[in-house]
Amino acid sequence: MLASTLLAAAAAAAAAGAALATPGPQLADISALTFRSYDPVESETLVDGFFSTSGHTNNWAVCTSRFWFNYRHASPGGDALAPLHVANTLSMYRTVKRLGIPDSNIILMLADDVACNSRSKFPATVYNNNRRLLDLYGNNIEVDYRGYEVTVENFIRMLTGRVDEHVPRSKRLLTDDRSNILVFLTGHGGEDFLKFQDAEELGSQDLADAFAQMHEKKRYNEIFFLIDTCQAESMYKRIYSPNILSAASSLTGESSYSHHVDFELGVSVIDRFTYYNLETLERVHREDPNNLADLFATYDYSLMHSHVGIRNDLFSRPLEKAGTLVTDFFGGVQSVELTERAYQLSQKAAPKESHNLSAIGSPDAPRLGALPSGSPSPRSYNNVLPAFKNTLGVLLRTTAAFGLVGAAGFALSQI
Amino acid sequence: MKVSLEPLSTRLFADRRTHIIVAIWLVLAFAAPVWWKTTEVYRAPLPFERIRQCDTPEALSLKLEVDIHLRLSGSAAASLSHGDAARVTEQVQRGISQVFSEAAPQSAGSRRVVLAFSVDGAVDPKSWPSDATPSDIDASLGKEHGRNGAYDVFVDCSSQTESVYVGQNRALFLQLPSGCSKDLIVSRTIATLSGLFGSEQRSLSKLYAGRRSRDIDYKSMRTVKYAPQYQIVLSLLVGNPQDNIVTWDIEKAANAYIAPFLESLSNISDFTITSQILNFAQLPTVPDDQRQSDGSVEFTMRPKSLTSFINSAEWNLASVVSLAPPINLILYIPPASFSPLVLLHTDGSPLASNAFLVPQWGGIVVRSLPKNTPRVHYSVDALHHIMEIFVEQLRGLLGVEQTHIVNSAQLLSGVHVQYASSPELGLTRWEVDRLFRARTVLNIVDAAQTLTSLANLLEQLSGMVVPDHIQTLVARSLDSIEHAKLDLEQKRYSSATFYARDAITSAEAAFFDPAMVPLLYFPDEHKFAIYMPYFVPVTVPVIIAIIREVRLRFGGTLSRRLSKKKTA
Repeated sequence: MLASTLLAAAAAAAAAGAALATPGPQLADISALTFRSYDPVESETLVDGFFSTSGHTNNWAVCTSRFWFNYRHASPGGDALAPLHVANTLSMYRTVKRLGIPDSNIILMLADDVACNSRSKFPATVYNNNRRLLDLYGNNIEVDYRGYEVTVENFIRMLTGRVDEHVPRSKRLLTDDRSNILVFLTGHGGEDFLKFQDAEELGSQDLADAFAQMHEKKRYNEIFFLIDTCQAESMYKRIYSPNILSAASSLTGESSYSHHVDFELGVSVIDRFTYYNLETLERVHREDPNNLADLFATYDYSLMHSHVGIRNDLFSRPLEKAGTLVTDFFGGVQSVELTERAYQLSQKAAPKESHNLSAIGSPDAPRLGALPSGSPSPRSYNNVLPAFKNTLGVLLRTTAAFGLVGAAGFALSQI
Repeated sequence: MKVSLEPLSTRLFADRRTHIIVAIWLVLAFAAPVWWKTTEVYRAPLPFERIRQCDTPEALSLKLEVDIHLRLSGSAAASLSHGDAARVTEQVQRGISQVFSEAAPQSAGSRRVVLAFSVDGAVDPKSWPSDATPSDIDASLGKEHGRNGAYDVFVDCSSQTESVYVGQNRALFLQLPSGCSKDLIVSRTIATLSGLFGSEQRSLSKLYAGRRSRDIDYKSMRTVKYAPQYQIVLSLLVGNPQDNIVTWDIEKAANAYIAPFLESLSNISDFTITSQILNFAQLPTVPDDQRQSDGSVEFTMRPKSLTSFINSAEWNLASVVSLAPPINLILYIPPASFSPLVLLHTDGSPLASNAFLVPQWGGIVVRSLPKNTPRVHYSVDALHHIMEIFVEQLRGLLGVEQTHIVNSAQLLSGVHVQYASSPELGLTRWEVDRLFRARTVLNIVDAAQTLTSLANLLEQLSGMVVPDHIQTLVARSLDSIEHAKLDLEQKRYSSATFYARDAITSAEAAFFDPAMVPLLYFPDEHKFAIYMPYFVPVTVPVIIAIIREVRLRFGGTLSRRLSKKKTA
């Protein structure tokens, strides 16, 4: 229909002596056909497969818990609660693995001292249930950061991508702008901070800045930030980057509670918020149609004893009615695209020698010198050190300055 | 022993006190600048203005110049009257420029990338020998014909029907019927060139518009994120080696089929190929079974169940050797209990290639083996068809756009359009050129944005140490951006690709340097909080003392002067 009208117009225009004589469309029509009309070849309906609706292609999860089971500073609440946070994290780790996120896409940070602790009656195991049905510390877990490596600095470095060059691939967060990330933090916290290893704190502003750095460098498509600590809502209050959904176990001013105690182990084994989340998530399977609004609807104050805080003002998609599926964050559902045809290649005999693939460029392109790989000098642990590069000069000047002042004072006193 | 202190006169006492207070203040006055200078953090000076200038819309509005050489053959020249040949060139130039000037929206403050054409033409009777087909001439041009950004259009007027043949070596062949007029040549040339470069212009305009809407863009979802190095991992996964032990001649096959393909892209990224064989590779989901008419059972999987085909928990596909992002190409042999395994379309029709692609990750080919074949060896010839599928999947994953003329049915109605493929390499020079141009533009833009983010971060945190190597990297990145833009203007596309790649690599190295963590540097409020408990209790008496001294010394004269003024 378009073609016939164009041809008619072309004929008419030709008769009137337009810029382009017959045959074929006029310049303006060429322009319209090329740039503004529907191109059947590039049409997306030719592609068959299964694609996620949120536009993400891979899922990542960052699960952290840090509580140092530290006997020297045995604070009253300290020893009792340590297995709890590890069990929270491992339960969440097990859930996301079961739903399909591979180990290469999970960063697990644990102060990993609970399973083999001499106080534990069941060595080499971590349970999240007093019936001890499931050993979370099984034989298929991969802890990326353990013990001393769990620090605020490493956490921020991992999130923003500024790791040292010797850090292995499994410890890096290799996300891109089509990754959905689930960030799960648990431990002890207070207003605007989260405790790390009894010695440090992660501030809510630092966390918000780290997310902002990730947004600047397009390191995520969407983030679901789940946090289970006391006064957890304060940790997400300062986030200001788009596409981040947050859920916290308690509001500012409220504490989060543990669920039950295993009397043989002598410690609480799981927190209420994580426990009720897991109850719902255990029924989720890889192709589950439930959305996050359904998950949030299962939260109940009478069971959790704390109000759950949800922040979705930065999140653009709706949470209900197939807007955001639970598996968009917890599962590793991958899109697939069927390959319709193969590219016709001529039959080749095996070559005599193999091609050398490295360091080949096209003949007319100049080769620059090799790029410096990372920092040429070893990483200095004291970041103020470079300021004193001219130490000798500075020392001399300072001595001279004070010497002058001293001389001036002496001279004055003699007046 | 009796110590006698000399009685101080009040005058001497007052002078001594003044001397002491002045001495203390002199020390403070001399020491303060010394302290300030020595506690300064070392910040290598960065060219912030240059960085800001690089990210403006004017700086990022690029023009890609393409040269078109029209070669009119003897028969074409014969049908044209004298002097028409020059007019053909001129009209094509005007027409193309007009069409492409309407391509990108011209709003102020927006960045745009446009293609600009310069056409020149000549009558070259030897360019198209009679009885030569376009593909012969194309083959005779050879792979090194022309350069990125210079293309030939051969026009011949001696055939019965009209046809267009897009060759693989940067050449376009128009066959027009005998007795073609100037207008026919002009209009067909303009339509063909617009259609051919139109899809490139469309994708360049979309690239700058960004991914704002939520609709699915398959091409950007499928293409792996750019990295200067990739490793291609070829894996043979055998479901159950008790049914079949499978081996393959992968090194020879990869060197024959995949290595030349990747070498032609070496200007953009470096590729390494590794391979492995994994046994006992179980599927995480069970395929559906269908009973066939002849009594055998066939196992099928549809796209929905293919989403969980990759058993990431058990298949060890991650490499610990290299940090380069992997692209996985998998040949999967299902166990006999699930053979033959057939992949279906969503509507149930079988898929001919039995292969699928996971966007941004890799590709998988499923091949079922016949029963009772305990040992199978895939030779290079047997791997030929699988390599063809892998090459097709690699093209999709690396963002290679198929050459086609937009809306050819309407732009060139009645014309037979044919596209050459490249059986030797897997890529035609048109496709490589287009990929290089797109990648160059993207790299320049990304490098400019990365540098701007770095500048923002550094300005925000005035206490952050900036080591010298950051300054070197930033300067190198800026120089590479400018060099790349200069090369683009002067149509040296290979050099531009190289410098653009260097620009983005340096910019990312600077931005992701381990020293750039904001957490390690204290904001100014912390510094006040540390110094104040020490210095405030010390400075308060000193300040009060000097105020008292000044008032004692000059207060008397001041009040006397004031009272003098009053009385006078």
